[in-house]
Amino acid sequence: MRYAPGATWLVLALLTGVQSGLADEALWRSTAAGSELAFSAWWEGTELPGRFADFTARVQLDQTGTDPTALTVEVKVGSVDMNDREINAELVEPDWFNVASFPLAVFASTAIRREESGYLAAGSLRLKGIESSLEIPLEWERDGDSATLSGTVTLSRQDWQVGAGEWASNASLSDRVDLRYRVILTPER
Amino acid sequence: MTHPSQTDFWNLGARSLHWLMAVLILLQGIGGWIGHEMDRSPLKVDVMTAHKSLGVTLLLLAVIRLLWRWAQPAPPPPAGSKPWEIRVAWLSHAALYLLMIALPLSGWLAASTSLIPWKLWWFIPWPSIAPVDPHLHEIATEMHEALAWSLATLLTIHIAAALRHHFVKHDDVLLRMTRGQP
Repeated sequence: MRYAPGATWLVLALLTGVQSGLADEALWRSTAAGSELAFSAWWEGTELPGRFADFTARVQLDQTGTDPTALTVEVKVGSVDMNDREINAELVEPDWFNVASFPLAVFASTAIRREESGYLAAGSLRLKGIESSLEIPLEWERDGDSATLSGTVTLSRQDWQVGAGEWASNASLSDRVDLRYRVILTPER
Repeated sequence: MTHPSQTDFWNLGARSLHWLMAVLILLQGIGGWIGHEMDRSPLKVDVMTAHKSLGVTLLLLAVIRLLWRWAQPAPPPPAGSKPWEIRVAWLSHAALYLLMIALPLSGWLAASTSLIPWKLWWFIPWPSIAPVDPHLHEIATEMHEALAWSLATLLTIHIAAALRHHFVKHDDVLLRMTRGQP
């Protein structure tokens, strides 16, 4: 076979091009600025808002760069903030998030499917060492080199034993916790 | 003011308010102290809800009491009082009324600036006078504690003075708050 340096260069260029294209386009990572992971707990019908200040979301896109195919979210649970020092001090305790033993909560999707509006990420959330399945609705809006991932999901705190021991009863503090997220992502380099 | 008359004694309304508030303020002080010392728990939330509810109740009672006193003035100082005694008595009572208003107000501010929810006697949603704010909450809590200790100090003086009138000066200052008639 005749040596064709031009073709080799072409193949190499295509390969690196595809690879760098994948690296630039397919993996997206949240930016701290502008991203929000908020929640509401409910105490005797009163809404108690809070947020996690420190978290990272990663989104894998398909080859066309339009649909998310995988989502992982890592939350530094100790960054929980309900704007009240006494409550913040309580939430890191073993009965709540047990931050000393389980500093990280991780959601990892196993499949993302298209819905009528947006997507639904099926996966599991590992929190406090407990893994429980969770489906998270997603809106994914890409605008060039920036994208927004947003949505809401309602969780059951009992699934992860958040608020255990004396706080386990749902009589005052409801089982329901609403999560709201609006995350800004850029391609990971 | 040489012979006792009806106006030398506190009327039933003033006496009722005095002794009702005396008991409730004592309970409030004990409850506040217990709540302060408790570890965080659902029981502590309830103890503090009781404390906040009683505080609002005491604030309303203090307002009623001030209005009552304004409508039905206090009896005059006992005959033979020295000018400094009258002045000190007036000042300490003014400070007591001030604290009966300021102490629950500072507690209301502390409760408002905290996220911990509560209803008046577990039943009536009670308005906030400030948004949730950790910094302001700390200031309000410190103010509340300082005012509580001021009230405890003043009440000790108040009780000691009443006992002095009764056992040392042998006048009717204590009796006119306990008895309906001279």
